[in-house]
Amino acid sequence: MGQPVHGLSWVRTAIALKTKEGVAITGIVITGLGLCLCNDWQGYEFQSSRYSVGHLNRYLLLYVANTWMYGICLFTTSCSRDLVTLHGTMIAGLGHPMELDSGNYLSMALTPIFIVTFIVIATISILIRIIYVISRSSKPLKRVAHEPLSTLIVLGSGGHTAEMLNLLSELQKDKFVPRIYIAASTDNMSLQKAQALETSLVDQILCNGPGTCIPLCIIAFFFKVVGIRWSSIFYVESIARVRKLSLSGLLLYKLQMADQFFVQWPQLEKKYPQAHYVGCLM
Amino acid sequence: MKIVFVTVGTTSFDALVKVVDTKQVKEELFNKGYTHLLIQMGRGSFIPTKSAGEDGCLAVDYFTFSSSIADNLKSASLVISHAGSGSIFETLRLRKPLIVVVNEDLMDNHQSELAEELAARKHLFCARPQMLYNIIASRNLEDLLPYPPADAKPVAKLINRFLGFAND
Repeated sequence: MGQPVHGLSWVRTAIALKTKEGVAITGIVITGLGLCLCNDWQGYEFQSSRYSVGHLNRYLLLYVANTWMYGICLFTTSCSRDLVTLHGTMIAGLGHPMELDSGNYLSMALTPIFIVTFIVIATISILIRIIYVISRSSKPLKRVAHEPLSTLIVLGSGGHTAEMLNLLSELQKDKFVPRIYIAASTDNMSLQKAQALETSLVDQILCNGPGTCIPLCIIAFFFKVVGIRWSSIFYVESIARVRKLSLSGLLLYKLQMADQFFVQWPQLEKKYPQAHYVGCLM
Repeated sequence: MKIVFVTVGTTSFDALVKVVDTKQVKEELFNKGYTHLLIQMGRGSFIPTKSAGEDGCLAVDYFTFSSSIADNLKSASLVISHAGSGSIFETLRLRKPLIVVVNEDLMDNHQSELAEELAARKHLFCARPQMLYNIIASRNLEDLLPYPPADAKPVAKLINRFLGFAND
């Protein structure tokens, strides 16, 4: 067993647990939870004070992630000889971690064990985060302040647009502001769309079918995972789809990217149980 | 003046234009009391034969595109349309009798789904091009049921509930 290498008290607590595997697993779990929690504050509170809380959380998120990664790597390299010999071939020529200055992050960061641990932890954290975002997405928002939400509306070709306008006429205009419209065009405008989404950072996206909404939804989902912005995605399948979902609908449904998925025919609800049948919008 | 309006939308649908231009179909329409046949033929290459409609036969006219077919639909007594959802719902909203002809040449023919479902609900008749004559001859257009108005309230309600807004 090595000595505590870090001044932080959580390292000491971790060492007190004695089993290195246990510590590593606990570290990973706590990293994941930390990431989730961190973003949950954002998910719950960013609505009320738009940008300050969001920024604070982003720094907090980075801080938590970095602390844990450094801490766990330092700990595993210094106190676990077994783990080091396991990767002995990989660190050959770089010197034994025990000989390294335990306080020197830079030299630690160069060891393969650091890189391996970093990748493992990062992958697991991201997976946990994605699973968390997916499971959190389908649940209604819990908001304290009922302030208006910025809304991105993706318009498609004729039929789609008519359906969307019917839906918009039913929503209370004062609660969905500002509204940003994106009209689907035949050429590829993914980049412009990404820019539009980034500069506006909407709270929710309404789309109903044109394939062009897919890149937007993927970007929004990515923003959710990374913690930049939590936006709800609503997808209404076109009325023209009676027995089968459209390709974009199927993609969003299977990847569980849409918070709420609406269909206009009961046959589809039967086939895709997570969809909500809402009757005809045309 | 009773007008039959045929629309193929922005596509080309020669099979439909050809079949409405047959003597058999035109005679049947005339027998049913229609006096004019107006065809919006889109990008199709088949040109129907124009006719002024003298001595007991149907007057036939055609055009390729127009910015809005709303006026044509309004003045029509019967609409024969391709299976595009836009023209289908525009016609149903106007409560005009509608026969939808499904284009079998389209690759991804999900369009027929909608027409068949609405036909099962008796809001329109659905036919393949070669069956159009039978439908006109055998079906009573009075049997069609009016299409209920669209209702976006259920979606709006679910979205509001999800976002924590009160429904009023």
